[in-house]
Amino acid sequence: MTHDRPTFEFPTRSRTGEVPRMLPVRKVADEAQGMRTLFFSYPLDAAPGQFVMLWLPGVDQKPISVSYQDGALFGITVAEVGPFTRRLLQLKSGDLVGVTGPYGTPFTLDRKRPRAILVGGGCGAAPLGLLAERAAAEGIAVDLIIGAQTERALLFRERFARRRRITTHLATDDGSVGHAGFATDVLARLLDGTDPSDTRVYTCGPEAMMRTVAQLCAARDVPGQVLMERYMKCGFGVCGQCCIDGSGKRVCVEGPALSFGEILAHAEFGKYSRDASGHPVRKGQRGCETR
Amino acid sequence: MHTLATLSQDYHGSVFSNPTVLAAGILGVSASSLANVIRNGAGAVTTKSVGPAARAGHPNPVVIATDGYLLNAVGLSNPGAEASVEELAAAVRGCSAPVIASVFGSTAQEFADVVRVLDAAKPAFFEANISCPNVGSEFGRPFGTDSAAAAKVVEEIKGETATPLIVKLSPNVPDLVEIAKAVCAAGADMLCAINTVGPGMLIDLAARRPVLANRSGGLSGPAIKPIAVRCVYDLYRAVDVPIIGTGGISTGKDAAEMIMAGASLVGIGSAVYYRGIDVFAKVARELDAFMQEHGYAGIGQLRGCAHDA
Repeated sequence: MTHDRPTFEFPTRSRTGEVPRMLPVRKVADEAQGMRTLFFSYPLDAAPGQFVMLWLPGVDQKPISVSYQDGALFGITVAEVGPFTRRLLQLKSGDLVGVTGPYGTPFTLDRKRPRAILVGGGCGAAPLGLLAERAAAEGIAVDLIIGAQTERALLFRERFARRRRITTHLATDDGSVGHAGFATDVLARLLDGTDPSDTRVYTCGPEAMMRTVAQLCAARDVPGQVLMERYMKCGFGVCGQCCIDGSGKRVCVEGPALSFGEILAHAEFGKYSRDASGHPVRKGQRGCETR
Repeated sequence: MHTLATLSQDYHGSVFSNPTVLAAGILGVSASSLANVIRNGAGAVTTKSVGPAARAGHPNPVVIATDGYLLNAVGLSNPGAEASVEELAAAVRGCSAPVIASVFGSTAQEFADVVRVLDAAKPAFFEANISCPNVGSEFGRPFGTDSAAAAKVVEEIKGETATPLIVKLSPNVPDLVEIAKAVCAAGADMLCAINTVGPGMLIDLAARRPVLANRSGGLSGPAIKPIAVRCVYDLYRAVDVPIIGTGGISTGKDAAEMIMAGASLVGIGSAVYYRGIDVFAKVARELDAFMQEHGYAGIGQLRGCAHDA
């Protein structure tokens, strides 16, 4: 007797499934105050804005954006925001980390627009590093605006110093270097001298900053995307933990890159997000945590 | 999605435009997500299980997926009944299809307490999750595996609400039919079978430890379909209430098989991973095509027909 073979294709998945592959840390690089990049020897094929799930056995597993990738190596750049990242920052060369992914909808490059402005705040600038490289390689002129509280906390200050087509702009809250004020002030200035039809804007960082970026751009008809962060359990679209109020879209599948117009239509953007229990928690407040 | 006439059914005053039902625990955290699942074709949706108090659940990893199965131990994360009323009410308001509120507790009284709180949101059905395998003896176990305890949960809930009650059964018991008969005698209006199988375990060879933070987790997806079909087949012979056949359904033909075994509706969860969030529309369309091709005029002609042989 013959049986029907499965008649469906896996729409978004590799055939290897969502099971971590244990990879040794190849090297660790200090980036800025409290921020490090962990490199792994693995031919990851992530597009800018995509993330991997990183598993520290016995600790936890979290989504982290890819910040470096060259075909042989990939890197993730993290700052300490909790117990998981604290442990991640303690890892040394040779330590094993479980990796699944890459996951999510990446940033979209638009080759018809010759200019890209990237706005990163704090450690949120990490995925913009990979985006800047890719955009420049496509012939797009990149303005990378990096904001932080102070000079020592600026990510990728030197990374693109000698790269063609990438201009780095700095902004610090305390004025220790670059523009004294917000990264969004620099964006507003750059947008004023820009033809909206030539430009696309990308942002990742604190949600209040991304909201300002999205509003500044929407008011000028400049298209672009934010990179959203939400509490994730599965990372591949089944648990529902990261769905955003309004469309109900999954940040892990339909995001994390979402267009300005799309994200501004969501009431929770910049206001609240869900904790591990699924309860909405206002930005800046602590919610229910595992363990 | 347009309503496929041959697929529509009514149960307890609720219209199911097609037999696909979002299973509890998948995409059921928020009202917006449930409404999105309905836009993707579901005939009804089930919330993630709500209990008496807030729970963060287990640390990650909580889900593993492979070609043949998913293994999960989320650990009943939920904001607690009081904090869930508003979300459930928003779901009932915002959903154009029946909303099933899944509930759990550590005692029969806790089940009833959760139902009393959530009843204000007016869900179309409650579903008693007496069968979660991922929280040890903490929740579910004694109820899902003991017919007297399971019946007690049903009695307490029925004493609290007139909202129709679905009981979700565990396959991990020596005699599923005995428990089903007990909960039906106690007043269950529908059954949902099955919850996840096992629990199972996956050990990573390099990490030399189980991958799931909870170590073990419930097995779902294509691998468990034969068990689910057999359970529904056995239940259909033993009880008169409608059955939501759940376990490994990914295609219209899977749904047809489950309905032939005796299901009235089919639960879909893990197939969101295998076929995308629009799996509900796909399964409904494929089931409709199968029924048209073989001359079935309605679900009623398909239901339980495997028993006629």
